[in-house]
Amino acid sequence: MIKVEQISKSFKGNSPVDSAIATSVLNGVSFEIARGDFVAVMGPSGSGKSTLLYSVSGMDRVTEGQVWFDGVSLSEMNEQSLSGFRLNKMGFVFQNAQMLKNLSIFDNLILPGLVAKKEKPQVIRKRAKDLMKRMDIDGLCGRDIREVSGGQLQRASICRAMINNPEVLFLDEPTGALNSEATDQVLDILEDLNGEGMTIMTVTHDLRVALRAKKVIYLRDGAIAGEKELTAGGNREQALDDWLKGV
Amino acid sequence: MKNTIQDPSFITYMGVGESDIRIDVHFSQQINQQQDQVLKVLENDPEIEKKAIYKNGYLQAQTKSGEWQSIRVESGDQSVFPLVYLEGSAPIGSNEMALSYMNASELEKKIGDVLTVEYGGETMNYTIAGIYQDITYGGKTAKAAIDYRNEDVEVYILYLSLAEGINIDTKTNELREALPNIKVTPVPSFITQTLGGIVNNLSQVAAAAMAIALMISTLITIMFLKLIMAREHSAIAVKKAIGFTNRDIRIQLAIRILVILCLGIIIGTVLANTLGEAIFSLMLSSMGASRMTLLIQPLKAYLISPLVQLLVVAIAVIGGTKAVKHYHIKEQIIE
Repeated sequence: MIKVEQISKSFKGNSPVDSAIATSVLNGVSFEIARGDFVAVMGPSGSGKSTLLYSVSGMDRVTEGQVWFDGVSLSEMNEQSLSGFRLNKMGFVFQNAQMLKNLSIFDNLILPGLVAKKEKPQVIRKRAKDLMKRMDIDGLCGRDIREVSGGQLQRASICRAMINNPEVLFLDEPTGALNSEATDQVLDILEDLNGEGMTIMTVTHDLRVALRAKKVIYLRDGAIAGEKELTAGGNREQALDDWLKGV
Repeated sequence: MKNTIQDPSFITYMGVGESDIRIDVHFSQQINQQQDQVLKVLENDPEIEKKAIYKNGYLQAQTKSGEWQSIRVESGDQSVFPLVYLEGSAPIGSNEMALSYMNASELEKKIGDVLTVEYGGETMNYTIAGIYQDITYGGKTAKAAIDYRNEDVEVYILYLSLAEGINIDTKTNELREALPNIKVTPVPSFITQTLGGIVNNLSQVAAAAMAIALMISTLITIMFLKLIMAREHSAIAVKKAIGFTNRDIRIQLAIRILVILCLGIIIGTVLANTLGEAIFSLMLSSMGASRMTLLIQPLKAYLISPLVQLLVVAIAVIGGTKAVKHYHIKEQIIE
């Protein structure tokens, strides 16, 4: 479904000195994500995990290489097409939920649906209500985003990511700001969604998140240091822990 | 303001109704011969629709404190070039007088008051019938039927109105040739000569005000945009992350700015038409015209000017919102 081919990404600073020097964040990264996969990207801070997520999802442009989504090259799309592509095919969940402060939870949820304009508003509203019910936050419709817990807000942001029926969910540290209970609730939801066929790529520091994945990619200094398929059954935690120590 | 001053109808603020050409026959040994010569030239001229001759001289008027002061009084048929009076109407008969706004203020006279004047050793009482605006002769003039002795006439002034289709400048040149020793002036030139400094200054002030207004509009637009974009940095990044394009966001910002601009243009236009007239009147009241009506060129004021502002602000918005493309959700995420 997603094919990442030798992507590199470098940044130039804004200062006169920095602008002359390009800092390389990703170096020739290649991997594939199959439909229905659940991939967790791990690695130390500054290893390029978030940059990889944003490059694969088309939110950032790669400096070199190609990202293919069902045979379509994201690198060759213009900004307008890429925004439309992301809006219709991808869902995004960020650390701290990242909701618009001047809108209610419900309005935040339906906004990407209204922007996409591919369905009638009443259909979008109905789906939003169904998603909220499924995530057990259906009582929060009219609430302000400052009136709910971090876990509830993150579940709402998963609803927002799902509003346009995306083919893949991209998550950047989805449990980074949550307590254990809220983390488990969010991970259960993600596991359920993946079980129903949703493709998921997440960036995380949290071992609990990685344990729910089917595949873990470990990134170090902008390059893949190792990849591990996590098989069902057995002691997954021990296996992952051992692998992470060796990678 | 510039448009109002440059319009031929501005003559109505100079103590006379709308006309096309002014002829001045100043006091000299030949004043009566010259007057006759002028009347002869103008007589039966089919290109002249109407004309009137006014004798101007000085009388002594008694102030409220009993002192006497000279006032310039114009005598002639006031009905030929009717004037719009601030208060009251044109003097009718031999014992009514109209005062210019400044004279009325200085002599502390209102409509219906009596003004005592002295001419040729005779004291006469005139009832004030009207008060009008006049910025000529220091703003201090009067109108009444005075039977001046020939030697007391300082100047004969003739106002002409030309028939339709007759060019003022052509007719002026023709009259100048026929009356070589007499001052013939087209009314628009007379206005410019009288207000020369003001018109030139107003042209410079208008150009500078326009340039400054456009610069301020640009500056405020860019500062306002920077303020909105800084305050909504996070929201813009989130919107981009959930599917809004840079173009969508820039359009949203532009709409907000343009709504404010349109409101500003409407309020500015209303204020210019109300407060602007009051300020203009205040400026010219020291010269003798206290109630100005601004003449507006609708095309310039209501179309070109707002369009230029819209264009300048649109360019500022395009430039000011370019930074939107650099906003990214990752800047909002604290690891």
